[in-house]
Amino acid sequence: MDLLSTILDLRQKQFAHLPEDLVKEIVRIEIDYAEDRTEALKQVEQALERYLNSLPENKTC
Amino acid sequence: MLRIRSVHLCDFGPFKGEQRIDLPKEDGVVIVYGENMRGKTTLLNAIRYALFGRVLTRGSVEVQLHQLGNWESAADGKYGFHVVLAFEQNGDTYELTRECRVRSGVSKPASNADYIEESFLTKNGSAMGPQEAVLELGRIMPETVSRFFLFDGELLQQYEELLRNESEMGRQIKEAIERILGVPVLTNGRADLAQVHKQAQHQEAKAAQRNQKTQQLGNLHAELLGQREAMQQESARLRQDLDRLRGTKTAKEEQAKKQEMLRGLLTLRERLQEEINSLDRKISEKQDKRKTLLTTAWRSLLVPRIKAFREHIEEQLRVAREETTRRVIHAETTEAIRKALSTGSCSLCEQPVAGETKERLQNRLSEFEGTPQTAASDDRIPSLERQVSELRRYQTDSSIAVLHEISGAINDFRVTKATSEDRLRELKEQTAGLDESEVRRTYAEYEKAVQEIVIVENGLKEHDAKLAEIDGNIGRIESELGKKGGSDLQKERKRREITEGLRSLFEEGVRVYRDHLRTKVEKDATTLFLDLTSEPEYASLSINSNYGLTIVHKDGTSIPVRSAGAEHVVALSLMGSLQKNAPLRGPIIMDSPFGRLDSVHTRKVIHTLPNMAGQVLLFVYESELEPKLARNELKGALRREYRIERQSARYSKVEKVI
Repeated sequence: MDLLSTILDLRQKQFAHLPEDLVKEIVRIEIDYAEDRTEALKQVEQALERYLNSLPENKTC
Repeated sequence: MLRIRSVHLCDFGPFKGEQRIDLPKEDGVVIVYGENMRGKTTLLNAIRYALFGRVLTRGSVEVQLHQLGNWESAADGKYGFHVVLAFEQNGDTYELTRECRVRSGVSKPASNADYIEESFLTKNGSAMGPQEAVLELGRIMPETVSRFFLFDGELLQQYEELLRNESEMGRQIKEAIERILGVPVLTNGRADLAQVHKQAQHQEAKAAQRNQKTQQLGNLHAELLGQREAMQQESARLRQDLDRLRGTKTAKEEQAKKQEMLRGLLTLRERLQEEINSLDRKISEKQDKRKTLLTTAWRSLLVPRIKAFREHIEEQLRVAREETTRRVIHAETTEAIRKALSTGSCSLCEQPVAGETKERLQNRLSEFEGTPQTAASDDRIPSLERQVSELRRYQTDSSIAVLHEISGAINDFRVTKATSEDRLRELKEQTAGLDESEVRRTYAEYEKAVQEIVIVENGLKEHDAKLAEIDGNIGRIESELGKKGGSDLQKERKRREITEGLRSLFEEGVRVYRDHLRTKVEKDATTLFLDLTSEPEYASLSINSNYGLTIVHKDGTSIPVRSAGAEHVVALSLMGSLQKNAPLRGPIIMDSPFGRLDSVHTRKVIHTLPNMAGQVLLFVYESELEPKLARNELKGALRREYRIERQSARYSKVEKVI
C-alpha cells in the first residue's frame, strides 16, 4: 500500500465527506513540489479555490 | 527508478586521463574489483561528487578540491578534473557533468578558492537551466537520502544509532528514512493544510464581520483567532526553545561522556603526580640519612684494627684478673696456715695440727711468705674494662651495610619515579588542553538544560490547555455562525469546513502511514534478514519508533548486543527493506561492504543482492569477495565485471573484464 492509497483508504473510511479528487490533487502537489515548499502551499490554495468555485452554490455563471 | 548508465572520469583521484565505466540497462549486479589504495572509494566519491558537488571522507570530513585531482597530472601542471554521470529515471535520460577548473592566474591550486566549479545537466538531450537543474537533481536524488544508495561499511555502522532514543545522529537517520519513504509528502501536506485552514478561519471571521447579523459573532471570532495565533506563536517559540534545550542536553551529555574518559585520565595524572612527590620526599629523607651516616662512616674502616686492639686489651684484662684471683687465694691461704699453726687446729677441717703436718705447713708458709704478691693488677682492671667496653662499641658499627641498604632504596625509588614520570608525560599529552573547570561547566550546563526542559515542558502544557480552551470557544462560535449568515458566509464556512477535514485527514494519514511503514519495513527487513543470517535460532527483526531494528530470538527475547558483522547484516536488511518500500528507488552502490562478514554471510548477501535493488554496483577487493564465488552465486544476475589495475602509486586504470 503506497502513500496515496493510504490516504485514499483513510478518506474512504473516516473522511468520506471530503472530495476524493481534491485529496488526490493535494497529495500529487506535495509529491511534485516536495523541494519547493512555497510553491506547494500556493498550489494547494489554488486547488482549494478551484474546488470551492466548482461547487454548484458558488458557481457565478 | 534511478539507474546509472555510465560514470566518466577525467583526472579524478588516481584515475588519470579519461576513464569510463558503463553500466548495463538491465537489472543486475556489476562488480568493480580493486585492491586497497587503487581507487574503489574514489569511484564512489566520484558519483557523490557528480550528484552533490562534494566528497566526504571517513568521519564525514569534506575533501578540498585540490585533493581530488590526479597527482600525476598535477605534477605535469594539469590541475582540473571532471566527472560525467549518465543516468535514466522514469524514461528520461540525463547527463550530469561536474567540472572543476583552475582559476586564471593560479599556478598551483591550494584551496577551494583556487578553482571554478561548474555543473551542467541535460534532460533527454536538452540543457536545463541552473535553478531547474538543482531542483531536478534534488527530486531525483536528494543528498539527505543518498546514504541509502551510496554507502560503505562506516555508514552501515551508523544504523545502530537508531536504537538509541536521544541520539542526534539517530534522529537525522530517522528523518532520512522517513524522507525516502515519502513521509514528508504527508507532513508537508499537513502543514500546508493547517496554514490554509487558519486562513479559512480568518476569512470566515471577516465575512461574518461584514454582515450586520453576524457582526458581533464575527468580531468575537476574529478576536479569538487573534488570541489563538498569539498563543500558537508563543507555543512555537516554546517548542523551539524545547528543541534547542533538548539539543543542548544531548550535546552536553555526549560532551560529558567524552570528558568522562579525560576526567579519568586527569585523576590518574594527579595520582601519579602525588606518587612522584611522595617518592621525591622518600628519596630526600634517605639522602639525608645517608649524608649523616657518611660523616661517621670512616669508623667502619677502623673496625679490624680496633678489633685486634680490643682483643689485646681483653687479654691484658684476663691476665690482670687471674693475677688478682691468685693474690687473693695466696693471701687467704697464708692467713689460714698462720692461724692453724698458732691455734694448733685447722679452721677448715677442725683437725689438730701437729707433728709432720705442722712441719709441712711451716714449710709451706715459708714458701708463701717468700713469694710476695703485688696488688698492681687490681688497679689496672677498671681501666682495662673501660677500654674494652669502649672498643666494643666501635666493633658493632655497621654503617657500611646501612649505607648499602639506603643507596639501594634510593635507586629503587628513582626507578619507580622515572617510570611514573614517563607515564605522567604521556598522560599530560593526552590531557593537554583539558580544563577541569570546563568539565564542571559541561555538567552544570547539562543540569541547567534538564531543569529548563522541565520548566518549558510545563509551560507548554499550560499553553496547550489554554489553546484547547480557545479552540473550544472558536468551535462554538463557528457552530453559531453556521446557523446564520448569507451566501458569502456560507462559502467561507464551506472553505473552513473542508480545510479542517483535509487537515485532520492528513494528520491522521501521517500516523497511519508511519505505522503502516514501520510494519512493512519490519516485515520486509525480517524476510531479508532471515535470508542473510546463518543463525537458525534468530526468528525476526523488531522495529522501534525510530526504525531501529533489533534481532529477536525464536524464544521471543531480544538480542541486546550484536557483533559488528550482525550489525552489517541488520543494516543491509534495513537497506533492502527501504528500497522495497520507498517511492524513490535507485541503485545500491556499496564500497567494500563485506569486510566484516564471514564467507557464509558474504555468500548469502551476494545471493540476495539482486532482490535488494534493480541495479547494484559493488566496489570490492578480491579477498573480500572472490570472483569465482560472485559468479557462482549471481550467475546471470552478474552483468559485468571491471578491475582497477595499478599503473603507478598515483595512477589506476579501470578495465572491463567481462
